[in-house]
Amino acid sequence: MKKSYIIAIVLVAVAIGVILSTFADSATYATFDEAMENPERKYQVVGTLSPGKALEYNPEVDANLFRFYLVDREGLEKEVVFKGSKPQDFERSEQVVIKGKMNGAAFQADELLMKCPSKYNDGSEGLKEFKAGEES
Amino acid sequence: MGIEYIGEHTIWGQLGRISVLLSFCGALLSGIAYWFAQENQVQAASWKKIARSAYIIHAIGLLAVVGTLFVMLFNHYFEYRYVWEHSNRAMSMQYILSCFWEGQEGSFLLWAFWNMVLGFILMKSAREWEFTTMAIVALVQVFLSSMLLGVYVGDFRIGSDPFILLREYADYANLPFVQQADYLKSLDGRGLNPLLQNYWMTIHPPVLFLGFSAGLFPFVYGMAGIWRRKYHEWIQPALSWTFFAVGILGCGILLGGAWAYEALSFGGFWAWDPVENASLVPWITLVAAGHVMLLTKARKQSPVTSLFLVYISFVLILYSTFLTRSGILGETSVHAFTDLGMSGQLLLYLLVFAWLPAILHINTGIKGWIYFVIGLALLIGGLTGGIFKLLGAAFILGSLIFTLRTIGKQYQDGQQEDQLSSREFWMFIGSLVLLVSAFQITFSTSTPVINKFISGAIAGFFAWLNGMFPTEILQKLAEAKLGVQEDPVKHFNSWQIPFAIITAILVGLGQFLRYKETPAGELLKKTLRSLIVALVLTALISWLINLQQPMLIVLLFTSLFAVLANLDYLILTTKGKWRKAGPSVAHIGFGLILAGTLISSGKKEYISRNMSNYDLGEELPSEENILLFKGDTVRMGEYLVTYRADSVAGINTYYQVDYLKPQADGKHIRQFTLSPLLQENPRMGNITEPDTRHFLHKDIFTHVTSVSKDEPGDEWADTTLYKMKIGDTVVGQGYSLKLLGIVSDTPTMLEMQKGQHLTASAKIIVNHHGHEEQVMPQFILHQSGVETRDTLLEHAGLHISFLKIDPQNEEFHIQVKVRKKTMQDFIVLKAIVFPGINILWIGCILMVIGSGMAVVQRIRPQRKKDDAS
Repeated sequence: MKKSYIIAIVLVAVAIGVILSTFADSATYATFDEAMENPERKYQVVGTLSPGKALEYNPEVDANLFRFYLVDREGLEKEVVFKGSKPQDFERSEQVVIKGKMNGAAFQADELLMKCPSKYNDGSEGLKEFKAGEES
Repeated sequence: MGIEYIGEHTIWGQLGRISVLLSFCGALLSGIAYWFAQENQVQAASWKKIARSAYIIHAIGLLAVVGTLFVMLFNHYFEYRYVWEHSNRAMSMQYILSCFWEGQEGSFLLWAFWNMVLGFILMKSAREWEFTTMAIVALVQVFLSSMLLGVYVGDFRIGSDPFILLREYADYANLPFVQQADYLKSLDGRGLNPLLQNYWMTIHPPVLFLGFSAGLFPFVYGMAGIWRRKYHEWIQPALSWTFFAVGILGCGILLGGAWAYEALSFGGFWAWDPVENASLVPWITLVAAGHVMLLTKARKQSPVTSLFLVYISFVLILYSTFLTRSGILGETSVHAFTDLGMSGQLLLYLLVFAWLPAILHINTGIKGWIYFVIGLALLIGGLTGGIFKLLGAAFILGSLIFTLRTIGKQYQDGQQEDQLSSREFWMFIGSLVLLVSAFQITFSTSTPVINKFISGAIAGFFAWLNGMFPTEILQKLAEAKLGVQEDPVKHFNSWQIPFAIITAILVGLGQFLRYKETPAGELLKKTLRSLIVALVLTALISWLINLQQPMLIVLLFTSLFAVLANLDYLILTTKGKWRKAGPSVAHIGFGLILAGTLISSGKKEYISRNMSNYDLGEELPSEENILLFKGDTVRMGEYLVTYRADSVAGINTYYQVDYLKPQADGKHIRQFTLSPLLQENPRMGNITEPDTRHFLHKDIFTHVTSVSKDEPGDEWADTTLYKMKIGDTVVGQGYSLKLLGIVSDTPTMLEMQKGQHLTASAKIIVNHHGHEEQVMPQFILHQSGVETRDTLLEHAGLHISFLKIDPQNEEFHIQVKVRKKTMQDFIVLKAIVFPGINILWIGCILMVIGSGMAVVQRIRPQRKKDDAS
């Protein structure tokens, strides 16, 4: 067989692998409902902070534990547990994107993305990202 | 009627708009004239004159746009939206450049500016290639200038005008202050985002955009090659442009990484963020292009791969612009631009240049025109969405494949397969690996685009497929709701580490391979030294830093081999002749980058582990943050760390953190102090910036993730009113009360009149945190009113009052106030040690230097040849 055929076959195989792994590894935008149906799968949930519910962060007890309540786009409220510190000004965020999966009744978030309103409402909000650390 | 506004400098805006128009028309005319110069051989000389003059007009227009914007920024003409959005009076003038390119319009301007400057170099150096190459450069400039037009065609707005007045801009036209005639008197701008007020923002964008601009020129030569049917000849002049682009774009990416590392709290220099990826991918394909072009030139092989690589590099630059500026990344990237409503225009820009090779290829006669018109209709239809987007994409891809196949066919005859032991074979394989690596990064970064593309009919197809073969992947596609990777770093690394391993081996072997055929014995003899030393070093380093992951050990070995083999070649084969040293230096740099990255990222250590006694259980494995009270000293790695003080400077608060080391005599000696900061950023909320201590062999990186906040208000946090009957017990936060009884002495009316009081004392048992004590708050009724004698339990932080007697219900009203915990100041800190990160930086610098040497080396012999002729 010609070398170029072998190369072509390898290339196609790798390309298919790349495509499949991208789809397989990507989290899905979802609501809490969908995340609860499938607690094994990781999801990305977009929502807003529950009005009137306190954010719980006690660094003197545990600097790496932060809990809050989030309302998803369909209005369902869930507790979110984030293994990291509370981002500064989290209270002010307009919109929060959480990545992770359901763990019992609470959503276990590995990552938080928050959108803060700017002083003037011109749409140039900042987006900030916070990650819980890699497992060690 | 309208208000007579006072003090506006509208003349500058008009000048700016005229300049944009001049720049746009100049580029258009120049492009058309160059096209005629090429197609119309008879009158070429006069067309050339027109084209060059038009290009100069374009340049003057562009410079005037830049100049006008600077004048407006310098003089604080806040009546202009761009000035108001991106600067203010308080800001130091050294950041004026940053204001200039903070906005999208400014960054397009910067891009167009570099294209224009490099265009002049091309005009002077291209000679017989001038007409074709400059026509394409002019076309690019037409598109870029149009990004600043801000004119409406029907409902569709072309470009965003940087010279629009604040009060004319739709989003701000209703702000109350712009309704006043003298609004300018007290108007101040919004200012540059404080996060961007540093020297990185001054140097990173111009270098990166110079890199993007440079990436245009290999493409322009490749397209000119297709146009002139000179499929090989374009490579020689394009080579120096390619390596120039590799060097500068590499430098731009490196500065971006350094910025992220030094000034942003990403916790590293590379996070596989979509915006970072978008600039890395064209660099990878440009590297591949440069290498394949060298091969094609040396071996007179089929030029198809070279053409494809210069083509895809530029298309990927456009694609990355589209990704970062159309707002499509929205929720997936930390630093994507917001949408200016130009996504349609950006997409058209991308598609036209993606289509360009086919247009130039078919470019003859009536057939060409018919093809062009049908294609244009398809593309514009594609932008409207629906099934047309599939057709449009298929059309462009089909046209490209057709073009490259037709060109390739001319070279099929007499072409032999390369030998397995030849340099060309392995260089080609290396380039393919780079291409696949670029594909992987692009594809994985593009999930939001894929969602947009497959939504609708295509997703419906996947839903149907999923109905027949239900799988998780099909389910995701059917929903068209793909997010970013669950763990981007892991996802990208799992592909990119193997690619890096193969590339490193080839980089090491490359220069020892000969064209056509290499005797196996010779290759082994020449590389054995490097292999053995690399093996020993790998074992030593892996042992020293306790590297355990097999993939990383293999990568360490191959990258050390790449470094050593090229060092060997540099010293023994080129014998220090620096004219031939460029490739070796760049390759050594590449190897060091890989080694430095894997050591610093693979072995980065969070020294800010939670040292408290709380057992957090297996569920909380990641403990990267540590709590530090002011004045406390905590062990962190080999250091003792104290949060000593903080100081406020403007919107920044610096937290001084001392790193101490215990000495033999028991004393602690301060080694160094880091001052990570917290910025109260009016645009983005609070932002933390790290501070890093650099050592030769490691960096200690520190940033605060959270701080204590003084909340204004009462010292009493929680007030509760209890209505109690005798014998009742109530429980509050941290305490409980039991009302034992009421002791009262009731005076007679006569006594009251004499000034006696009614005094009731509530006998209460208070239980707080296990302590019990009895208190007696009093309720006193005067003739003139009510008075209470409260009990304050200082140690328990409780304030208890007896407020009222309700005889009807036989209830007594007892109020308890709980003192707010007086929190000591604290910070939550994250500290990371990056070992060996300097290897990475040295590698980056060497690679840029090596690329620069390769450019100089290519320009020189060309000059000599030119002089001789």
